[in-house]
Amino acid sequence: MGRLMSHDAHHQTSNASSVDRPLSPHLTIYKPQISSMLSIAHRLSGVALFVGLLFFVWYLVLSTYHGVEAFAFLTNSILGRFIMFLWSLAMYYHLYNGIRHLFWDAGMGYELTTMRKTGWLTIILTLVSTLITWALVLGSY
Amino acid sequence: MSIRTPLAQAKGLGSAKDGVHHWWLLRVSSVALIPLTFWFVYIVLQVCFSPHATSPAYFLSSVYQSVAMILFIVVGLYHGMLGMREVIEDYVHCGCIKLALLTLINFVSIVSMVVAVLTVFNVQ
Repeated sequence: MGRLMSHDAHHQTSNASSVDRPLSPHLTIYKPQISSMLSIAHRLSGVALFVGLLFFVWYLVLSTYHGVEAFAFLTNSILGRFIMFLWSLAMYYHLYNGIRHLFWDAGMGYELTTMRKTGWLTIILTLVSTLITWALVLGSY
Repeated sequence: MSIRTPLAQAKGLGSAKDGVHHWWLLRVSSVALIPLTFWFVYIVLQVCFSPHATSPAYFLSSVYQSVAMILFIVVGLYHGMLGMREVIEDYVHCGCIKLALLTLINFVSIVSMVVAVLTVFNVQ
């Protein structure tokens, strides 16, 4: 078990907190559920999208001034296309789950049954949108 | 009118120091990003389907497209800045590292926004 981190702003360490106390297990024993899995996926996809958007901005800048070579890696290599595929997956997921969040902010959809249904709807919409988009992209080559 | 005591307002208790404004801006920017994201997908598909386009900038000669591109990048990075702030506040507790990371993300985002806007201008 790990050390219990003190979360207060002053970070005072006393003798008591430097002793390793046993902690209850959490991530290792908690059953993965659609609520928690989609929630962490929303966070992960958000971070990935942010990094990817920064890359896109610089790709836009470089390709504007330097032409084709700037984006050859992304479009012509398998790894580049795979990265873009993952980014589009994250984008669609974050978009649809984000809309789900907005409904929650309006106070709607908190019932467990509704939450599970909208959760699965999000997953299905994400997969369908990504597949359609990439069918179009790959079909254009 | 705030119901916080003056001391609480001054000290800004909690990891974020303030929250409601940040929360609201995150929501507003996410609403704006819904149409902007679909527009962005449309532009990317356009680039794929036109063999002579070397970059999305090819389509930015129209005012509407360049406005949408600027909005997508600026609002997207802004939304990302706010979101990353939440993530950092959740996981980083050392004051110095937290401040440094937040500042770094803000600076990188703002620099990227400015660069993107100027690039789009130059395409006109």
